[in-house]
Amino acid sequence: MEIIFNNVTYRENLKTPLKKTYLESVTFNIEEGLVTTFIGDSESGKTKIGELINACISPTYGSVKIFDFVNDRRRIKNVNKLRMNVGFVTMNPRDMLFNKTVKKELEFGVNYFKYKINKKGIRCSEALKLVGLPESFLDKKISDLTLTEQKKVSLASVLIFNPKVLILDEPTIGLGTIEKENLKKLILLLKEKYGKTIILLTKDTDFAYPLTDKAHLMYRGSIMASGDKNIMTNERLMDGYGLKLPEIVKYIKAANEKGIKISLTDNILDLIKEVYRNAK
Amino acid sequence: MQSNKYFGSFYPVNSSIHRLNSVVKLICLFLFLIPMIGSVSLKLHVVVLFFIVMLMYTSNVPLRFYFNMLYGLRYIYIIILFALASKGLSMENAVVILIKISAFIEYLALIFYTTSPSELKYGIEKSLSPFNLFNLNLGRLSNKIVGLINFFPLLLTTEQEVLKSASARGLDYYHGDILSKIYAVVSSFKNTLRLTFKKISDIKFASELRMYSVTKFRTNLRTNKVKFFDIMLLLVHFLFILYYIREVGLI
Repeated sequence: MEIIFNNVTYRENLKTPLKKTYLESVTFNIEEGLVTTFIGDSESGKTKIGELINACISPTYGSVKIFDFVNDRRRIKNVNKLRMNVGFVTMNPRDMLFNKTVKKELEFGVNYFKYKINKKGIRCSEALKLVGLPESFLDKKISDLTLTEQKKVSLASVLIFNPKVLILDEPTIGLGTIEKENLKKLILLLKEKYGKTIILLTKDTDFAYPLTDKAHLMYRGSIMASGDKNIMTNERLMDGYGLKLPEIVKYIKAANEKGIKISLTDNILDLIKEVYRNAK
Repeated sequence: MQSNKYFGSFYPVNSSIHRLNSVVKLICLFLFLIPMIGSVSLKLHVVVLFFIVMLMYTSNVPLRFYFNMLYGLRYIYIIILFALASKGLSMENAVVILIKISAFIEYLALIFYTTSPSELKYGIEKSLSPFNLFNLNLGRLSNKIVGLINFFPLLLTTEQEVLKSASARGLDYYHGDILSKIYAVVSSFKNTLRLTFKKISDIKFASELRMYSVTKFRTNLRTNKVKFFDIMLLLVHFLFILYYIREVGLI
């Protein structure tokens, strides 16, 4: 077990009229080397899970165990060792990028984690290449970039220090279809070739469905269902919590209702093969 | 980490103080200054302080927010008291001066916590309207005043965002000792300041996009009516002034 949430409750503005509960008695485990997805509508508490793993906030009750570290309101010694292994990419890149140029932004984590890198420049351009940006972006100002480019830079600024766990909060916001496909490929590469643990916090079921190994459905700070990716194919469950079925699942279900038997798949190429076989 | 989130900025809850007319609030602040600056009566100062605490309680803003503000300025009180004690200040006078400073700070905090920036802008514009005689651009002036008032809370919010992001990438603020906290704040201050100015220019741009103009009057939509509680608040302030006039011996 890599990350363990033990009965975690997180509240803000305690003892004030604006008191708000983001997470309520949440318990789960995140296993190593898998893609774990937290799906849920807005205000379901997904982002707070990412922040708790990264120890940017502390739980009001309960504890979060991340490797050998425990986040339970007490001061964590050597917290940089934890954060070096957990990369958190926020939903809004503007919350994350605060340096003037792309190069400074990318080098920030490397400098403060005291990484032993002789070739910082090469590492920067490689991180940019991974997210699909050319080397010429290094000298650009952050404020001159579009939202999509900022999103990619924020991902690169985390990938550069090679974390074991990568948390992506709403990774598809602001991305086009081709960019989403590229991100999917990158996530699969990180998982399969480098054995990274990926945590997706999203409401985009189309994006998450083919990637997910384990899924948790969240609603108003609680986990309503857990299991493998098949919880995303449960129409009643998804409708009940304001989420939509993945398009591929919708298509297969519609075909099955019309008497065309197509087995459930998450790959569009497999689906085409199935349709072709049935047409024959 | 969360306690300072609303430091000096509007606290969005519903209360009778929040519903007061912003123009009346500012007029009351000016009226409040008259006895506070002139009077030396301990009785009046204790009554005024009690009245402010009552207003603070009815504003539904957590009292610790007000006291945090007061606590943050503790060194300034000590310096002022030392300076005055060196000139032979009596105990009663020291208490009066302490009440004067804290009442003024808490009154300002009360206005900032209970008045939204747009209401404040409206209030400043209206209360400065007598200066229209000199053909001044009051819209621009009130815009600048509100901008100045909102600068510090915006700076704090931006700082929180930058520190959170910097902590996630190695420049820790939340789990370090006091020295590492200072180091984190100082290291990120340049970026925080740059981002705050950028946010201010973004807000200006967004207001212009929504047809905001400092030279044109805006629709009031009957939200800023003077009601019963506004008149009562004004009356109480006039009572304070009356007491002060009697103390001076004009009546």
